[in-house]
Amino acid sequence: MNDDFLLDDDDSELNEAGYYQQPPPEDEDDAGDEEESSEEELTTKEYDGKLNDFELKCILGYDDIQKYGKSSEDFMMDALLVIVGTNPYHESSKTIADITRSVLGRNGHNRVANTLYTAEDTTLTGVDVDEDFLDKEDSKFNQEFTEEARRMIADFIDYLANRDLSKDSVFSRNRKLRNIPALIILLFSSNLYGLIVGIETLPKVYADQVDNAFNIITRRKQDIVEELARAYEERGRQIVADRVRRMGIAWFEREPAEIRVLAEFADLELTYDDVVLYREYRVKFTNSSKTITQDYISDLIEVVIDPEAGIYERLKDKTRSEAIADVKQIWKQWATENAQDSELAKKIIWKSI
Amino acid sequence: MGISLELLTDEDILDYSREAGEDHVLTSKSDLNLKYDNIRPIVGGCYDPVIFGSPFADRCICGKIRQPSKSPCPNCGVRVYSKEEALRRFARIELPFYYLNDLRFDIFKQKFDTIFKDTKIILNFSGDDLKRLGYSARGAKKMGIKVFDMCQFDYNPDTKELTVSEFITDESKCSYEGIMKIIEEYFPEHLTEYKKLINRYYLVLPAVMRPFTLTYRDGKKLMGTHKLSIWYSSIIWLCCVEDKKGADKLNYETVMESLKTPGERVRYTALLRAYLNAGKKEATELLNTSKENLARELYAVRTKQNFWYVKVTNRLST
Repeated sequence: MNDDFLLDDDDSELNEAGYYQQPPPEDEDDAGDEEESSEEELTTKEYDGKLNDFELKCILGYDDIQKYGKSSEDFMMDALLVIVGTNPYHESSKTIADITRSVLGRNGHNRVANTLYTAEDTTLTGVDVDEDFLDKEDSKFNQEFTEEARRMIADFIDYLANRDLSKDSVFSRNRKLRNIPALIILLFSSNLYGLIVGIETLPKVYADQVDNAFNIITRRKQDIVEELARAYEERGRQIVADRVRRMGIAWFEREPAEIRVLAEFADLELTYDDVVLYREYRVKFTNSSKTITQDYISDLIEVVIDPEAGIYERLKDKTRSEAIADVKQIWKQWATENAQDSELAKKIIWKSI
Repeated sequence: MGISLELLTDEDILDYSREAGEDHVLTSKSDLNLKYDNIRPIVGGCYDPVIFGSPFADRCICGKIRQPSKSPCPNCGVRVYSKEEALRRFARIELPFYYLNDLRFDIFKQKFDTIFKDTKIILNFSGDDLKRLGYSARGAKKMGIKVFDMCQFDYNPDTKELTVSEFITDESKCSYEGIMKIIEEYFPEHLTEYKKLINRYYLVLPAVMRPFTLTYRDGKKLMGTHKLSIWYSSIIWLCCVEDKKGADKLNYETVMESLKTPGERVRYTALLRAYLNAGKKEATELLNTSKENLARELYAVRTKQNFWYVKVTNRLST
């Protein structure tokens, strides 16, 4: 980067702007090098008695940072040493170095700074992280099975969606129309909703319902987050309420027992009463999200009987039980026609459902 | 294909970092929580899962969703964005002070001279030579960016005199905020243009452009953090007013509260302005010289993917 942008070549501009100043010395440019070399000493001398030590330190630090920006091989380290060193809280050089390393992620505990930019398309996959970092050796295996299961479900839905129902009686047709929503309810309530996301063979009317269901479930969880924040507000714990709102759902990842000892919450100075309140809402949160019951999800997924006429059917109670039993039976029969699907269905689906 | 740098105004940054009425603002210096049996991005940090989505390319954090999805996972609440969508996920850091990108200094200086063309400018410094005092790169009377970063500006409308002083008595009259106050009161017709030249927001690029990596050192597993993410974290650490976690004393508000005089507070802020400016090269490789310049590489390989990368990277605010 050229630093010419800092320069002002035309001296006359200043005069036009009306600067009130003594004329510069004739030999200004010639004197430059010598003066720059003793800039620090000169500056301190110039300011003696007019500015305090801290201000002087900042002024000199400012110049150093600008200098590092142009020439330092390790700008961030050098510049941060100046800023951390200027901070009135930090006096010992060891503290300054430790904090600087910490800011840069160079303390060596669990992370290091990459020295090169990484190409944009090298985001880690879940399998990479599981196997290389978290010692979960079955991750790739699980991934492959998930992909196979998704393929099978896509094929099964394709079969369900493209059956010819024109010769069916009204009763039979309506019963068969319940198959796809019943399958979706079954997968949601078995915590296998990941298998239904982005399935291309899923008719759009149901894909939209699935998307909507995801959003509603998340919104309900966010409502509980807001309820907890308000409860803290009512108790005069605004700082905690703010943090709950900012963290959102992530707040509920922490166990009630641990929030008082975690460093990231240390500034909140959580009390025993805060923990008790959190415990109360966490139960509610867990019930609303970890367990998606058939009753709960059947409010969100409806049978599309005649979309143009706006006729939909909600599967409740006995009708839902029968519809789920039907689709399980059809699935089982369909899977037996293909040896691979049959094996997969036995190993994964039936074990989980 | 031509490549040019475009410096974003605060309004541009807001456009990039807002979606459906939601502001994508980073407030935490932390990146990822590695203490659990998974990798959990910290909300508000530089891999905020709400803003940037899952840190993994192919699944949500809990692993229930294993493909790109428009909807959040009901369990962990995180979306898995497609690459195209992930590249549109920008955020911003809101600074507690204005700063001037020094690539804009010439234009800023022209604007300053235009606004105060009928004003007598009086320099109140400890010596006559601004260069000697480090306030200018060249010329005894030329005001460099350091003057605007840390000096006090007093305007007398009766005498039409602007006194620029390095001796600070009133914090509110200093630097870009101080000049803005004068413009607001006496030269309001220039305010909009003036505000376009300075920034309080710092654009944060999508997480997918600065992915973390895993590495081994001496048999120990370590997470490799992208230098751009470290750069953002350091800005939040030093400049953010919200994140006061832990015992460190780098938080801007904490430091400012400990400083006694207006002069100390103004100088410390100037130090941070210098950090933001001098560290531009940490934020983009488009400012590197010759062979190390990203533009050179992009010219050599003009793929569709890289074209998008140029578009995004070019629009860095700093």
